[in-house]
Amino acid sequence: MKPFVATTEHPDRAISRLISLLERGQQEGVQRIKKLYPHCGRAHVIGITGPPGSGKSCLVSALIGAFRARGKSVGVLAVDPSSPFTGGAILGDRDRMGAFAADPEVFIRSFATRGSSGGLAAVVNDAVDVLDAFGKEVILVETVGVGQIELDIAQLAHTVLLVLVPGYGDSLQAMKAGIMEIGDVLVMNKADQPGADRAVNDLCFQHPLKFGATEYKCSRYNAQHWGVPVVKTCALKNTGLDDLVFLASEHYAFLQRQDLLSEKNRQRRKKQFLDILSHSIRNSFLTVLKTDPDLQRWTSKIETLDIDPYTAAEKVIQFIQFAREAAVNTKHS
Amino acid sequence: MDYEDNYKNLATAKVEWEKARSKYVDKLKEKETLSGLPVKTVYTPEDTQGLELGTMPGVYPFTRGLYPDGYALTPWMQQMVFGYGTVDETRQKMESLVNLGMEGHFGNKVFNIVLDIPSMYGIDSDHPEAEGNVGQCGVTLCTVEDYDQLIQGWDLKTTNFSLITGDNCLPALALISAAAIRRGDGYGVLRGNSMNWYPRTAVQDIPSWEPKNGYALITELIRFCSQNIPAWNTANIFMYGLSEAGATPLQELAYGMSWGKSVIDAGLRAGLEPDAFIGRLGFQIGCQSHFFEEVAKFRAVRKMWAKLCRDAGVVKPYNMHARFHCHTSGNVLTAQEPLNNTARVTMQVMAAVMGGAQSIHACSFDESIGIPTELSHRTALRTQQIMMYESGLRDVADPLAGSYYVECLTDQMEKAAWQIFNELEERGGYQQGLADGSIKRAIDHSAYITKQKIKTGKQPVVGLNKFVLNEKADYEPFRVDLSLERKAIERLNAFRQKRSQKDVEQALATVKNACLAFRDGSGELMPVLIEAALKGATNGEMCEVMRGVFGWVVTE
Amino acid sequence: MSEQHIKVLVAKKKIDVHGRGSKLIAQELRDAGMEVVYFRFGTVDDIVNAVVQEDVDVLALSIFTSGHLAITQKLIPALKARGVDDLLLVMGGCIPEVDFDALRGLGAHEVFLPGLPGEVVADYIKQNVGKRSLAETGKLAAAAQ
Repeated sequence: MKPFVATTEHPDRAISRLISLLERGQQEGVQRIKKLYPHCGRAHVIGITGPPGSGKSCLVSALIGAFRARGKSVGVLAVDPSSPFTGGAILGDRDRMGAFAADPEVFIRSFATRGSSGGLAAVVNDAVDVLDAFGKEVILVETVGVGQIELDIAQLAHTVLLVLVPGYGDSLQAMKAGIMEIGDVLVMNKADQPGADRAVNDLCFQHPLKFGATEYKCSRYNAQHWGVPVVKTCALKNTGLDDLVFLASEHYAFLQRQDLLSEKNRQRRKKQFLDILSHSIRNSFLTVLKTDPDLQRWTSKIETLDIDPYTAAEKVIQFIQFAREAAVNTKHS
Repeated sequence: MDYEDNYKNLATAKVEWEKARSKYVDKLKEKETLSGLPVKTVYTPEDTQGLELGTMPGVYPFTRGLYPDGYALTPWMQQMVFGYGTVDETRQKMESLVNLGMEGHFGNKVFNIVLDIPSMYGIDSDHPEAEGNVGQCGVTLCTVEDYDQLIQGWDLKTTNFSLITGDNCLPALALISAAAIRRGDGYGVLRGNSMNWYPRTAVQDIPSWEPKNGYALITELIRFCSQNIPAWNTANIFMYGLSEAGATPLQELAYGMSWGKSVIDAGLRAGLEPDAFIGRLGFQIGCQSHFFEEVAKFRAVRKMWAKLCRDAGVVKPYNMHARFHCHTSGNVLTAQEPLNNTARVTMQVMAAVMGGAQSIHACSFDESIGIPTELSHRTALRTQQIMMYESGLRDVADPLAGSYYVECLTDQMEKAAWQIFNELEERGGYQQGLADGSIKRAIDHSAYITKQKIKTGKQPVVGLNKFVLNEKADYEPFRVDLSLERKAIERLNAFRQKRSQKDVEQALATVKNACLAFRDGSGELMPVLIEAALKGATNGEMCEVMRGVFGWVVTE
Repeated sequence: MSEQHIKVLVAKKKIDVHGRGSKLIAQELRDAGMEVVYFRFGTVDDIVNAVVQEDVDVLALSIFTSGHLAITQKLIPALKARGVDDLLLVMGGCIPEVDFDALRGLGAHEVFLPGLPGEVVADYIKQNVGKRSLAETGKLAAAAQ
């Protein structure tokens, strides 16, 4: 399998324009990404999450350096929150990664969450595929640290690094319930601060485990029987990065060994398909609704409760079922 | 009339006063200073009740000034910031400023030389990131030969070199020390100033050392000078930087004191004796447009600093002096109708003089447009000279002392500043506030609020949001010829040709090892940097080695 | 364009200590509903890379310590060489008004004086985003010569 090669444009420009088209939901983007899927599936997708203030973007910056030192090309997708009032956002992650501003093997793209309407996860999904198809070997997806998006990203990443800092307890409260369970590696960043060792010990419910030749403290076994290691880093001082890269790669190898990687990818595609489908159905319904007076009359009955919304939905499903049977019958006849 | 009668009279007068204003008093608008402290229309003896007013200039806590007779013996120094192009052009400017009468105490020369931003940042003029900025807003100083030429012909015993450096302050001191050695004077006689202001990165928009290393490097320069260059001022508490980044005068005061304490603490931790180093710390303070608030701020600075020094164990009174250079605000100057800025600068210089500054830089009226012209720079110097020689302002120490308003405001500023100071101390002090970004957030927020106030007209700025003329400005600022960038690079290359590359590499390797040891808590840096400078290592080369060891990070 | 999110790269030189203006304009553009990538660049190529990778609609370049003409002279051809032509380029900071025409001739669409309310810049961007191209300014520059 070979990376996709854009013939007429600089690859960065081609990646970037395609992501923009997909971000704006333009059909041209959909047509283009369709050609890319045969080139997907080689990248190691790593999600980086954790409460605000845990130093995620500095850690991502240090990770880029560590992967580049190993000769890997890197794509970064960094998400920052939008203001719920103005819709505006300040995207500051790229700046933290300024050391790679001129590195042609590093592609960084910033995103705003744009409220809770949920479009972001689909765009990030697409952007991961685009970077993957264009041959980025490691894709780092950095999230904002709060909200639904964390869980969405967890489903799309192969390996999730949950970044914490000493005294993380309070900040963790602000995050979504269940966030602790999504980490495949727990990272105690800013480990030069007081209380780091205690914070690490508080996370460890398991005896230390051996990864390769090295023993790491361990939080617990997760559902796939992967022992979740705990690693100390100090992104600013660039310490602990070798361990972190090693453990992330170990996790990827573990997924491959246990045949979990293809399962994870299958799950991701299934979910992606269902998301695209429901999005498309909704959109085409809304488009038709705009121009179809019969349909408008019908939906107005829902608004006034002449038909209840559940019954109305059942009727639509019945209609689709009917149409499907009719199509099958036509084909067979 | 005795005290009691006085108050009886005041009470009677106040009744009359209330009556006289009763018709319109409801219509009066509430006023406040730039820091948001409330301002009344009238102050009375009641407002100064309980304040310590029985103090004298030159006596602890120095609220009324550092010297017993104010400016009578030592007027403020006119330290105009200058520097552009290569050292050739800057030499010419030095000479012209001396000819214009710019001088320090007792006729000494004072040169407040600003390095260009690549030199400050610690990259040489041929670095790709220096392009377009070489010699533009400061002089490019890369090599020991540049410094040779800078000090050439000046008597080191009576000349003050204030080097406006950035994180290159140790290499810059090494380079000027090396030049003094090459001249045969040795560095022990040098007089001047290292900015040594790493803590400014709490608000300035540049990367710098990791906080722990940043403070260790501050201390190393202080230690070296306290033992070897006794007349060198070792660190500058750059309150002006806080102010220009957006701090209100109150925040500037509070965080400035906190910054100073963090430097004192770092020195004490390193085992220095309080009286051996604290007296050589100095301040650079901003001056914005609220006249009385600024005077009050300057007075409060001296009082608060004296207390901090005494608490730190300083015994000698003159080591408790908050000696300060006032830099009038660049941020308040408008690009619209630039000549209007002379009025702003004059008011600010006056506040600095009334506040007892030791040294003043008056901004040129065109600093909001570009690099000052000969005319605007000279006019700014003349503003100071007119103030000094024509106005009579320097004749009386602390002339606003005893003003109900100014005394009350000084006290309000001090109290409010201690509150901010103490809150930060409880959270770990300035170094922690720098590391966790809380100082930056507080000051960025103030900058934002100020901008909103200007936008809504709540804070009037003539020509910008009030009495706006919609005419295009044809003002022609000073141009630094871009060919000077080529000239600087040629100079640098010629220097590199002459030196022994092998010696330089060896010296830089020694610097690296010394840095590694120093980072881990042992050894000295300054001597090896001076050695490297003598061998021909450049500003950028030394800084590059340091960045590799001490980290180069963007704080939060 | 108004229904889309306007994405702006606020670029400011990394080695320059002056960040008040660029940080304020970033906040004010955010307040006006824009998505602002804040970026401290080392070289012109860094800006070009960021513009390309982020695919921004607008580049807002803040300059406080001279070099505005030199940088613009280099920037526009570098952007075009990477295929960027549909970009709105605005500049601000400490730039003499007498240089505004020269900068427009080089390809900047608009230059702003320091201290202006952010809305002035935001309104200009909203009115012009998507309607101006670097190619067009290149033509203007050629015509001016």
